[in-house]
This record gives sequence, structure tokens and C-alpha cells, in this order.
Amino acid sequence: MIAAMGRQRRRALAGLGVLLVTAPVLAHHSAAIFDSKRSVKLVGTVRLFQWTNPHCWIQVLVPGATAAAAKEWSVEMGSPSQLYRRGWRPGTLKPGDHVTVVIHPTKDGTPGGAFVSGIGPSGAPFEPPAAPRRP
Amino acid sequence: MSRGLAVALGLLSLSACTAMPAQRSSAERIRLFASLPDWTGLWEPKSSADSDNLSGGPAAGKSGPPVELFRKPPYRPEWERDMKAHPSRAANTPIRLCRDIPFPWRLELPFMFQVLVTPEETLFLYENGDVRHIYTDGRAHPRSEDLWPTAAGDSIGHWDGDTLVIDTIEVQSVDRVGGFSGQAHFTERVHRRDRNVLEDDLTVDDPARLAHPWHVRVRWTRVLDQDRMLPWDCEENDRNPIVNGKMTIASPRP
Repeated sequence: MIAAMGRQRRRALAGLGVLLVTAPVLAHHSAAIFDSKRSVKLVGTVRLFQWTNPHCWIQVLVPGATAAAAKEWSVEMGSPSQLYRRGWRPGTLKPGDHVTVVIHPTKDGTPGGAFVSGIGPSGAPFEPPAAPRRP
Repeated sequence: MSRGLAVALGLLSLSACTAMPAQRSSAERIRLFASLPDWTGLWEPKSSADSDNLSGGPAAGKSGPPVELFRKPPYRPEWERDMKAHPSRAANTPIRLCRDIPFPWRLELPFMFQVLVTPEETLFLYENGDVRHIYTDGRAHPRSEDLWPTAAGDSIGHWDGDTLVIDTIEVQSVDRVGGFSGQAHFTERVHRRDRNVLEDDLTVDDPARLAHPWHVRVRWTRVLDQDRMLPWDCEENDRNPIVNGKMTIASPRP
């Protein structure tokens, strides 16, 4: 299932344009290939979770109306270091896990996008911890 | 070996030795170590610490404080005109960042780093593998004929109390916003503002590009939610190849 999310995260993303102009928050490359004004919700199954540098990736199989219409999406994330800080681990996702992932899709229509948020196989959202751990 | 050649080599060796800072005794090094500030821990630019991009996607995030170095420096009018004539220079971020990130961009890019302070040099050890050497053993910059432009330039420094004063030259020219000419001279004063904040007062003197010397303050905050430096690599699984000048997404390798 794919659903557009036009307004839900507009407020959260309001400052994004400024940030992308002023700071390359993505250490490796710019985020210009993604449409930060659009959000798409993917509901599907994890085919592959790549815990790799410079980016982690979730390959999500999204079923279509017919078997032939099923599509695989490439969801790009931060680096393992960035994800680790928010509680992700190499085993957080496994092939076959059912997930819901919100992305900023590519501008050119390639089935892929930048990870924004998601709901894991347990039904709990992938949310960052409320506060950083203190040493 | 003839006696004459041996004497000549000996003199050459002596000459080379006298150009190097004097060796310190162990006791003296221990005393100096004890006098140096404690900057242990993991650090990151405050601008990236305040952004909300950690869990996620390349484009996920919210606006943090402005990144000072990517604000427009006070360029001379002729350089402004030159940049306008080359629109690609208006983009203030490189399309891809891996290694040898140019100074001073390096100061605010979202890579973690550690600082290793020794009597002889201070090293900034970055998550992406870059290392910045700041020699504090009293040496001068090498002679101009022994220098060539590099991403990090050549840095020497000294301690003014708990403040590290750094002098950097010979940085490769960067022709984008936030970049400077190869003649730029950088002076920094780095000190620990409090337990969790390092502050760097940077002054850029670049008459070729700037109308006047430019002062920028960069802050780094202690990383509190990660207990060790994790490896970062640009090429392990790079799925964003540039095709016809545009970044793309490649399928995962089988």
C-alpha cells in the first residue's frame, strides 16, 4: 500500500529547506534527489536490510493490485553510526518483517526515497529515544 | 665511504636535526601532559547535534541553528561577480563528501571526532578517517618551497593557557560559497567553554577573496549517546552513483 502524505509532516519539515541550504546534514552527499515536500507511506515486507556505510538501506516489497504490480522500493537511511545513536542495530529488521515506512520519494520517480519514519514488525514506531543517555 | 663524504653526511644530518624541535625528557613530557586540558570524549558540530537527522533518512530532519561556515563570507565584489558567472559555485555543499574534506568546511560537517592532546601535537581524529595534525612543539611552518596545497593545509599551534591557538596555511582553494583562495590564512582559538562544549574562534584572512578578515565562531558538543567511535566508509556500499551528472539510486548488489 502506498499513500501520499502531503500535510502530516509539513510542520516538521518546514525548516528543512533552510537546513539543506545551510548544512549538509547528510554527511555523505546532498539530499537533492529527494522531494522533501512530498511524503509517501509504504506498507510492505522487508526483503533486505543493509547495515552498511555510507548509508543503511531497507528494501521494501510493496504488493500491488496484481502480483505483477508489486514493486520493490529502496529506502535510504543515515549511516550505521547515525542509526546506532537512535537505537537501531544490524538486527533491527529482518527479511520478511512487515513494516510501514514513510519516505520522501525521489524526484525522478525511481522507486525509492529517504527514510522519514516507520513502524516496525512489533507495531511500535521507530522513534528516537526521548533523551540521550548520559555517561 | 670517503672521510669527506662521511663528514658531509654528518653535517647534513646535524643540520636536519637542528631544524627539528628539541627532544624532551620523559619527566618533562609527563609534566607537560599534566598541564594540558582534558578534551577526551567524542565531539560533533553543534549544528549537527541539534538537527534531528540521526535516525534517519538523508532528507529527514528539522532546522537546527545555522551553520556558520556555510553562511556567505564577506567576499570582495569581483569574487561575487565571478561566482554569479559560474552558478555551480553558488551551491554551498559539495555533492559528495568522503575523505580529505577541505578546511575549514571540515569544522562543521556532521562527522564525529576525538581530540588527542599531546605535548608535541594535537590531533583531530574524524569519523571518516581524516586526521588533522596541529604541531605544538615549537616548530614553524615549513619553508614555502617545501609546502603545497592540501585539503587540511599545514597547521602549527601553541597553548595560551587552556586555549589552543592554531595557525593554518596552504589550504587548497575551494571555489564555492564558504571556500577561500589558496592564499588564505586561518587563525583559530580553541577552548573548552564548559564540560560539554568546545568552542573555536576562527578568523579567515584572505585578501584575494574577502573584503576584510572574517571571524566565525564554531561550537562542538560532547556526544552523550554513543560510547565509541563507529567506522564510517564512503565506498563500502555506495548506492548513489552519479549518472550523467545526476545522483541516482542503484539496486542492491546481488
